[in-house]
This record gives sequence, structure tokens and C-alpha cells, in this order.
Amino acid sequence: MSEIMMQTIAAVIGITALGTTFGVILSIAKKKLHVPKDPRVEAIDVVLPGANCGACGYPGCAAYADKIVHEGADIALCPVGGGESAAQIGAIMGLSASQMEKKIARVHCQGGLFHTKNKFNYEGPHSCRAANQIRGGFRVCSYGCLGLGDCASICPFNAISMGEDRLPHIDPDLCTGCGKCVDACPRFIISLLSVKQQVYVKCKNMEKGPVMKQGCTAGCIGCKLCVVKACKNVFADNPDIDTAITVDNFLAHVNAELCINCGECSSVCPQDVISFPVEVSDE
Amino acid sequence: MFRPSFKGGIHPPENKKQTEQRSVENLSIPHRCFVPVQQHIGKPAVPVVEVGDYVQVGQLIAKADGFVSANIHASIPGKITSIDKHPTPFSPAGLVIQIETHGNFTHEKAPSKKQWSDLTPKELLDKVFDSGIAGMGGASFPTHVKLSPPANAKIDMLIVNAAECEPYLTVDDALIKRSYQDIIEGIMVTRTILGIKKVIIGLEDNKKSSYLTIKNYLKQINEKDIKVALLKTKYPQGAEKQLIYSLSRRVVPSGALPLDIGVVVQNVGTCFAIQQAVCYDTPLYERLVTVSGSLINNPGNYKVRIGTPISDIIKECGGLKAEPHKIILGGPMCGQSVENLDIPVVKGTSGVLFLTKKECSASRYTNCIRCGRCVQACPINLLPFEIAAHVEIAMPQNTENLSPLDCIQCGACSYTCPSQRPVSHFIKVAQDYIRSKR
Repeated sequence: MSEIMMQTIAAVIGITALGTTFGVILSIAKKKLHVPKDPRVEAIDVVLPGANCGACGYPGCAAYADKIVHEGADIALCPVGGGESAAQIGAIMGLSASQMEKKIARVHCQGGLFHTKNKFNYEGPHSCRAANQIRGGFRVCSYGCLGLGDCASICPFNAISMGEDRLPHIDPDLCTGCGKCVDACPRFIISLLSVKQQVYVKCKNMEKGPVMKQGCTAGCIGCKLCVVKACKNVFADNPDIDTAITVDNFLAHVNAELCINCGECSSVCPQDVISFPVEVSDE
Repeated sequence: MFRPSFKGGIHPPENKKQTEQRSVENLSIPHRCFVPVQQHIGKPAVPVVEVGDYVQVGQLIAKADGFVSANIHASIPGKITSIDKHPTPFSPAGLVIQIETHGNFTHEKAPSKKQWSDLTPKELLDKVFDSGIAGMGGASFPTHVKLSPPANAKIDMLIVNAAECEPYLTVDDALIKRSYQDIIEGIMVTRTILGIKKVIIGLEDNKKSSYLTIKNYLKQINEKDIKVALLKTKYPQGAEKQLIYSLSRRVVPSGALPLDIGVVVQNVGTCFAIQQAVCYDTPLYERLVTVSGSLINNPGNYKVRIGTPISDIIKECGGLKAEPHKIILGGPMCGQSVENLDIPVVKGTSGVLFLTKKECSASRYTNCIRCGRCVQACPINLLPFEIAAHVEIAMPQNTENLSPLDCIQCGACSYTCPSQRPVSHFIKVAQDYIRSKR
């Protein structure tokens, strides 16, 4: 045999021996160092929508799936998947899915550019949080929207657009109720309400009517017409419920648990500050 | 010549010429005063008078609520006309006690000077508390809190801040020229309260005459434990931590207080107020204010009653030449611009500035060019441009590792930025965000 042949055979035998040795070591290591992986994590990850929006409070869908299985995170935290994914996760985990209503962000201010007055010219960064630090914001009203769009820029689903009136407009079809805008707003004028809750007050101003009107023409004046003329009449036959609307600090509040979304209050409001219900679609 | 200093900082135009040489003038007593119940850091004071009551100068009208709070006294004699919401330097609608001068003036007699050497530190501290003194340099931290360090803190040095690094302001300088003897006495009271000997007074080297005045006086009274030092003229030399470093080479660790490294810092104005409280039983109801900026007809250093609205100051100082672009309470770097002429002067107001648009040099900011000037200027070694970048894209949560909470809001980064970016404002947003999450 030539020398070349000998060398080739030696190489083949050498490589084969090495491969076999490492193969044996690896297969032993696999047995010895085996980490049991829960198949449920993978199953839940498939069920989750994969938007990785972080609205559940965890960094991405895979992390959330992991936390559900290993740390017992609530299975109804995903607003994007909603009740459907919660039910599927419940089936995987053997838990009953808690009731999860689809929620949607609502803006509690209607005093945009055309209704409000400014105290001074603001020249700082184009951000509501920054503007709110300078003498309580540049608007005379210290409760309402500043209109610089922190909510719109943080929305991961492009559901919020700043209108010409410098107010945020929320697209109910795109909004998943993740609540990022609620945290981003320095004035706390956005809240998450059930999709079915159509009646809410579009104002947060807690000043007396005349004081409020110095800065805004579109706010709640606390006249109580919604309570006296509408809501009390609606519940007149019901001995258990007096009214679903209360007026504290010159501001009306709608109690979502009692409200039947009839819209009577909206029709009597002189400031037109209570939202008018529209037909709730089945979706 | 070597002058002690710190790393970083900026050299803005001083603009002190217009008021430097002016001696202190008394502003006439306003016919109405808006005295806010919150003029200090901490809890607002609680009003102890009612609408319709008649008060005398120096009468207690609002009582400190708790330890970190300060008493408030009437600054003019008269009638309480309302206790209601009103814009103040601290908030757009804070509780304000409105006093209108009423009836005959009983002449305010200067009470004879009292000896304090036989009083115990506790009694002296009580006098400081009763007089409602809060830091007069601008931050308005209640002085009695600073002067009662916890038992385990080993204080060995008192630093008196007369650096006055803010452009335009000359109050501290004017005060030293006018009443240096009283200030030294106030310093002695302060160190008796703290139970220490060593004192350093720090001034920037653009106030040499004041430095010599103090130095000669100290030699004259043969006081060896009080030293006076000239510092490099550089902003923010008068910021607490920078001043401590310049004068003692001690570094206040992140998140710690000066008393953790054995130092207490007081403003000269505060020392003067302490002396007035201890020697004359005079509570803090008036202070020196620099009225300046190129739009006021008679700039100067004025003695102003606390609660005097800005509109009265304008009238007394000969009116304005044109409508100002900004009115700033305090210095142009750290002060705040105000929107309402009814806003009163409070305990921490060291200046009222009427500035033109050119002086404010406000224009739209552009993108960061990563030149690093803000990093060079930052006196506490932050990366201002990076914090600002995170905040600008609405991700302040990413800034936590960049320690924006250590920022002293001196504004050196914004001043030095070639793109005119409001860097310190961005950092303030990050601070606000991180505090709100804690």
C-alpha cells in the first residue's frame, strides 16, 4: 500500500474514533444533565398572539408563557388575545379561564385646541410629560389633555392618532387595551373601560364651573342635570339603585357597574361632556 | 493663579455689571401681599389666622406642619383678606394668605440687639425653627432640619455658600458688602448649633472685594477657625456638591447627603437670617432680591417683603422697557420662568429677571450630533445626551442605569448644546418617570 493510502485510512479511523468518543460523552451528558422542559410552555407560546407588545407586563410572549407555567402568572393578562387565548391557556394549564372582557382605552377630555386657552407659550421638548413639569402644563386647565401625543407615540398598535384638535383619537378596532397609553399620560386622562361601557364622562376637571370655564369651554360644570333629570328617572322604578351617576368635586362620575348604557344623561348634558352610546357590535 | 474648582461646568456670560455696584435699596411696602403657605421643601404650613383677622409684621400666620416644614410670618401689617388658591412659584394654584395693609402704621422699631452667647444650642435651634428660616439660596430646604443632623452623623465642617455662580444675581455679594459683620455672627451661631469649629466661606473670584472685606474683618476680630476661600468663577460652583468638592475635596456619594461626609452647607443669606432671628428675634419676612435683566428700567438689589407680587416690583423699579419674553424667578440657569405677574416673591427667590428673547435664545432644537459637549460640561459625570435620547423616543425606563436621579438640574448640558437641545429638561422627565415608578 502506498503511503498516501495509509495516511487516509489513519485519518478516517482517527476521525471516526474521535466522533464516537464525543458522541458517547454527549449522550451521557444529555442523560446526566437533562433539564426537564415543560411542554406546556411551548403550547402556550403557540396560543399567544406573538405580538410581543409587553402589555401583560412581561418581556414578550415567550416570557409570559414561561411565567404562567413556572411562576403561576395570571392567565388572563394578554389583552391582545383576549378571552379566547385566556380560555385556551386555561385548557392547557387545567385552569378555568377567569372572565376577561375586552377593554379599550377611553379619553376623558374633550378640550382640544379649539376649546381651551393657554397660560403661556411652551418651548420645551415635544412631550406631555415634559410639558406637565413646567408650572403644571401650559393649558389653563390643569386637568385636561396637553395634546403633545405621548399616548400616540407609545401605542404599539398605532391605535391612537392625534387629531387636528390636538386630542388623541382611539381607533376601537386597533386598540387592544394594553394600557400603555394609560401609563404614558401624565394627566391620567386615559382609562381602560370595557368595550360595552359606552357611557363615560369626557372631562377630569374638578374645579367649579366658572373657574373651569376660564380655561375651557367643553368641560363638566357639575350642574348635576345628568343625575337629576336623567339617571334618577331611569332608575325610578328600581328600589335598589338610586343613580348610576354621581357628581363629586363638580365632576360627574359614571358607575360602570350600575350603568345600563341608556344614554339619557348624554342627551340632557348642557356641556355635551358625556359620551353618547352607539350600537355595540357583536365582535 | 490656582483657584479650587471641580470637573466640568460652563462659563456663561456673567451679566452682573448692571447690579454689582448698586447698594441695597428698600422697596416700599406693598399694599397687598400674597404669602404662600408653601415656601419651602416639605409639607406646607397650616394657616393659623382667619379671613378678617388683623396681623402685625412678623406675626405667625401659618404654622409648620411637622418637622420638615417651616413657619410663615406676616410680612406687612394689615388685614387678612383671603386664604385661597393663587399662583405661587411652587405651584400654579397653591394656598396663599392674602394680606392688605390696613389701618395706621405702627412704626417698626428696631429691637435692641440680644446676646446669644449664654443660650444653649437647643435654644438657638428653636429660635431658627420659630423664625421659619428656609435655605435662601433657592432650594428653600428648612434650615432647622439641616442644622439638626442625626446623632450618628459626625459633622466637622460648615461650608458657607457665597459662590453665587448664577449669572445676573448679585444678592449674596450685596449682602456681604452691606452686613458682613452680621453674617459672621450668624455663622458663629450656626456653628454653635452644630457644635463644630471649622468653617469655610466660599466665593467665586469675581467677588474679590467681598472676599477682602470678610478676610480683613476676620483678621480684625482674630477669628482663626473661619476661613474664606476664593474659587474659580465657573457655573455651577455654588451647587452644594460641587462647592463641597472644590473646598474640601470630599465627594458626596450618589444618593447620599452632604452630612454623610460630615459637611453642612448654608447660604450666606441663610446665615444672615439666622443672625436676625437670634439677635433681633426677627422672623424671616423680607429678603434681598436682585431685580435685573435688560428690560427693567432700574435694575438693582432690593430689600423686598416676602409675598410682594412681581407686578409691584416692576412698578417700583421704574417699569419695563418692553414686554419681556420671559420673567424668571431665581437665576437664569436654575430659576423658573413664571406666567403670572401676581406671583409673589418667596423665601427662596434670589432674583427676578426680565429677559428679552435674545437673552433667552430660545429656538427650535435639532437632533443630537453626539459631540459630547454635554458630557464634558456635566459636573457630576453623567451622560446627558444618552439619557435625553432615551427620553426623546419615549423610553425613559431605559435610563435607570444612567442614574438621572443624580442630576442636579444645573442646566450646563442644555447651555452648552450646539443643537440647542433642552437636555436637562429631558433628564428631568427621566427623573420624574423613575420617581413615579418607585
